[in-house]
Amino acid sequence: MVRIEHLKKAFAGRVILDDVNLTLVAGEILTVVGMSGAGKSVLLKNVIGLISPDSGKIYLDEQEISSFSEKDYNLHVRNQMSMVFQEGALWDSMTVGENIELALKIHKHLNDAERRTLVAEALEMVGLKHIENAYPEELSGGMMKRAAIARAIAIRPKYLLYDEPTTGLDPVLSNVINDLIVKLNKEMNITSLVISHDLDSVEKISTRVAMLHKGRVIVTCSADDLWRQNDDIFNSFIHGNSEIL
Amino acid sequence: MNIFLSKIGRVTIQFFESYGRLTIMSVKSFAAIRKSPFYVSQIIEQFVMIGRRSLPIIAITSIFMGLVLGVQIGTQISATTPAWVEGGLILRSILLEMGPVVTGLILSGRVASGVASELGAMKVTEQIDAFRTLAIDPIEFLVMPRLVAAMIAVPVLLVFADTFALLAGFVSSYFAINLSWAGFVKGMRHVFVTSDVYASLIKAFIFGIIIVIMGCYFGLNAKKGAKGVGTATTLAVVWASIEVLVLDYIISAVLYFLW
Repeated sequence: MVRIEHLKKAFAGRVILDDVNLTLVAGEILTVVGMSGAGKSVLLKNVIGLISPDSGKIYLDEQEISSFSEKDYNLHVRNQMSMVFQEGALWDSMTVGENIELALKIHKHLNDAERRTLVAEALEMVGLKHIENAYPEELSGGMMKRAAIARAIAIRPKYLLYDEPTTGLDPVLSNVINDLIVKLNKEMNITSLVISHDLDSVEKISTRVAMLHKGRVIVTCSADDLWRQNDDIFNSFIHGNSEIL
Repeated sequence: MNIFLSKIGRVTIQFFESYGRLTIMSVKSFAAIRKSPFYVSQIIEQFVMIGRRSLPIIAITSIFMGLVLGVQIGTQISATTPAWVEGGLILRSILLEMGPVVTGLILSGRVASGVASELGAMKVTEQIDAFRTLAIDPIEFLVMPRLVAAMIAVPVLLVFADTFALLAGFVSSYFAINLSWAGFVKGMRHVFVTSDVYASLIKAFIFGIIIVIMGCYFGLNAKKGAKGVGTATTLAVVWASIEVLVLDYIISAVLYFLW
């Protein structure tokens, strides 16, 4: 479980996160929605330790991690939590296979054959086979995202953070990614925190939905109750009405 | 007046903040060298990038540097001094100053810009963050191999640069004042001291470090967008060039007093 308590973060005096409280329950897919600039990506980066909160606390399985050093994050958090970036962020000087293999090479004591097997398994899991030798520039947008997911799951994380996984994809490819997020949740028991603008995706994948607005979580509900909320801002957002927002 | 003072204060703080970050990155990079056996393939890859691929431009600039020295020194001394003196003057000019400084400046342009733009592009596309989320230290994986490669490659490049420049200097002297090879060698032997070679290599070693550190620092701190990468690249080249010239003076002065 990941628990976020009273999280605050500002950049150059501009408040991005203002007293965020949120819990990611083990086994669920929690989707965080919100307007652009609401601080959704900043929230993810705080959870995985890419940036440090100004105040507030983040707990991972009851252990407070927000005050961890980079070394402690590497030892205790990033061995069980991984992240998929909006544009994939594959290392473009390496092949897809090398992208997936690198963390295994550095952190796990495996021989070449064992590593190759894990790389192939990760690629098969995301529906990409035999592209180990391709470079990221040779992949389509959808393949790039799936390869990025393969890289993230190769270390067998318990938690996976997705930053707008379907952004920039056509509806067909978006569905492929949505199905993949659900499949990883069910088959690998990966607890997922997903940032998304895409309400179709939100409905398809989420166990619960939270809305971040002006740095605060204003609504948390189950995916089934998505269209039955009383909050005006939330309803304006999901109906695409800009007047109240 | 207050606005002026506050601006000076802000710039001063920013300057020391930047130097603080630069120092921390440098210390971490050197500390990471103990893990270098683990990153041998990255070090070899960077050695090829920094060393082998810089060789053509180093060769061209060194040859023309030697040709110019031959003509300039030849025309200055021909009326009053024995011609063989030119060999010694060219040798010392190249070993002590022209070789390391020109090599340092050329590599500031080629290597510091290449490193800054590559790491800058990785920064703005979140590839650096991706390393961190997988518990891979970008300094260990990206900076340290470049640093080790430069510490080896730049002195090696300097040996090539000095050799090309001396040979070109001889050719130029031959055509300018009809200096023979025997005369050229006599001049070189007359002034040669081993400590000049050490001084030259020490400079190259330190320039290699500073060029890579500047490229990595500005690349890893690039701001978002194409403009951010462009600015990082420019700053890396400018500061690497300045540092090469400043350090050239400091090293020359220190070695002069020591030796």
